[in-house]
Amino acid sequence: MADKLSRRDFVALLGATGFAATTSVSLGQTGPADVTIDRQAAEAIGNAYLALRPTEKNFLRLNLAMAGIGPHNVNDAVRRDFATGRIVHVDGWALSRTEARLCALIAMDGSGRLGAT
Amino acid sequence: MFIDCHALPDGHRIEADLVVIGAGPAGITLARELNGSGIRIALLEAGGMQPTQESQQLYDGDIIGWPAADLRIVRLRYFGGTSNHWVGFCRPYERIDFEARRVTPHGDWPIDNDELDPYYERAQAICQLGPYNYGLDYWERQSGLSRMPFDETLVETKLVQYSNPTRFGPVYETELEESDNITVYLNANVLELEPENGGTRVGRALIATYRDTVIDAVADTFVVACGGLENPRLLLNSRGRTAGGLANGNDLVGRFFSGGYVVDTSSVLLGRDVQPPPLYMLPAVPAEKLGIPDPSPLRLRAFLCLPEDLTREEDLCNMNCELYPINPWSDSGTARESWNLLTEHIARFRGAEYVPKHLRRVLQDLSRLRGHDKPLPTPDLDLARYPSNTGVYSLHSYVEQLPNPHSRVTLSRDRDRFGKNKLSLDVQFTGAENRSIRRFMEIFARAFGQEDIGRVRIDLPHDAVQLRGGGATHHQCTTRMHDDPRYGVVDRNCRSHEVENLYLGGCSVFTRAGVWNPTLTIVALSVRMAEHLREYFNGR
Repeated sequence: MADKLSRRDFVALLGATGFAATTSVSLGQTGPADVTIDRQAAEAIGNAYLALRPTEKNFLRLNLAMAGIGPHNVNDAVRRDFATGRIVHVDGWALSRTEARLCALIAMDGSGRLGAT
Repeated sequence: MFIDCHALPDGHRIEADLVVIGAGPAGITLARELNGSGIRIALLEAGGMQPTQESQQLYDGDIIGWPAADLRIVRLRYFGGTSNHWVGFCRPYERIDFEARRVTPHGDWPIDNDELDPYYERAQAICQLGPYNYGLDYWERQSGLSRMPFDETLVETKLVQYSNPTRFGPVYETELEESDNITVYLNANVLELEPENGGTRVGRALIATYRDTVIDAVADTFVVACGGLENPRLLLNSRGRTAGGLANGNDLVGRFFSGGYVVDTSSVLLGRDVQPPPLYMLPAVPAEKLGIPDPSPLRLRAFLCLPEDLTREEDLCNMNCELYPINPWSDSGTARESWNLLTEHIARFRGAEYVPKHLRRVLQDLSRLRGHDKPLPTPDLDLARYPSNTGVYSLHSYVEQLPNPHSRVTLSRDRDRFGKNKLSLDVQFTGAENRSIRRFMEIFARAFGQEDIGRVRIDLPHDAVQLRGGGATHHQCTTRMHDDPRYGVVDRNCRSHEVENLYLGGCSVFTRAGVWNPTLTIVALSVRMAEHLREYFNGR
């Protein structure tokens, strides 16, 4: 059962780091307290997303699906998602599929680092 | 000249060429437009110059359908009518508001915005607004302010001008007092219109005062302009020999009630570096920032809307939206809630026992504001004027209620102090309103995300539109305008299809409610009616 995603979680994640565009990248770069808050929020989003799409609950497969998306182009991917209607509704929030999948990867990765695979 | 009907003897008869029932924006505008015309006008106001409990109580009625704002509070029954607590939003209706679409099967006005345009221009001055220009490009150039950078095939910015707001009573009192051909009668409660010639003409209006004297008024022509609920109530109570009421041969009087609804459960989180431009925030941009010479009461504010083409393509009802900051530190919801309760109890002239608790809450809220080094809000406690400190804004959305013959005003079994039936309001929706608001939010979510302006949280209960109590504040369409008497009570000149010397004024004649605030359109239609009646009386 996914954790209830509160507005506070979402604000913590997206408000503190910019949008999810920077989430995965900034986790290891900000201060320890921020990392904890952001990770928890990202995990909450990720778990909520995975509850909606259980077929994506496979770290390696999802990581492969996100291949080619990195800090240099994640913003473009997010905008493209919105422009083409690849929008997922996670606990009411309308997110790009890329954002939601990034959060799902964080939720599935115990260390909170994408590179830990 | 003003006459208090309490000073008139029982049985007195008022004689005029034109009797106008109701001294709100519609009635006052009509009378003023005919000032100096030589047409003898009796303008009948049910209340006095100030609000009283005994007058306001006559607005009591039942709400039996979906929630609606308290009928005794949302309308004001004294000289100037509901303009006495009008907020002041103004914008002309647009082409899409007048046209019939699949989603509005009963919604085709017999006139359009081109027809109303010259009257809107006149109404603009009457409502004490700025230049008759609502173009975004124009105001951006004028002010140096800019719109939010949305893909405009998805989301458009539209502007409203705020009237000061014009309180029609105080503002136009002197002019009416000094008029040679207009007499304002106060405390004149019209109980019914008595038909003659087999119901094809109004013979006289029966009037009661609060001192229980009864007088009457006779005239060549009668205009009923008491608002979207009292207009049908008066006709339905004017039964004469027909059980269904006056001008109601097709059982249309009271039907198609539209109230206008607000949904504010969804929100947007703006990006870290995004602040809504000043155009979108309260206080609305004042005149000095707009290049308008002072002193001018003009204020301007931006709303977010769907483009007309997209609204047609998706077959949605009309909607718009403003951004309301969500500020946890101000606890504004609690204070606002208390303020609403306070005003409600004050308006009902009771509730001394409730006041201290809620007043304390409001005052606490004010002291918190002070602690944050913000200027204190104006007495209207409009806390929405401060930018959100969380980046979260409520998407405060206004939704058009679509025409529905089952949404209606009827007569209650209960009677008022004069023995007339109170009204019963049964608000019903078509279902397309809920579909529309959900789609509206989905498109917003895409537009905010695509430009990386923010992320939208869509939080809509299944019956989002219906469940929002406190809506239905603009009572419209209950004696609607249509060329075909099978679908409308009045013709394109606002004259009854059935009763040749009876006209209806105000937003009860709107064929469709639209989404913008109705006052400017009410005034424009009154100016137009005045032109029509002037021609009629000149040709007589």
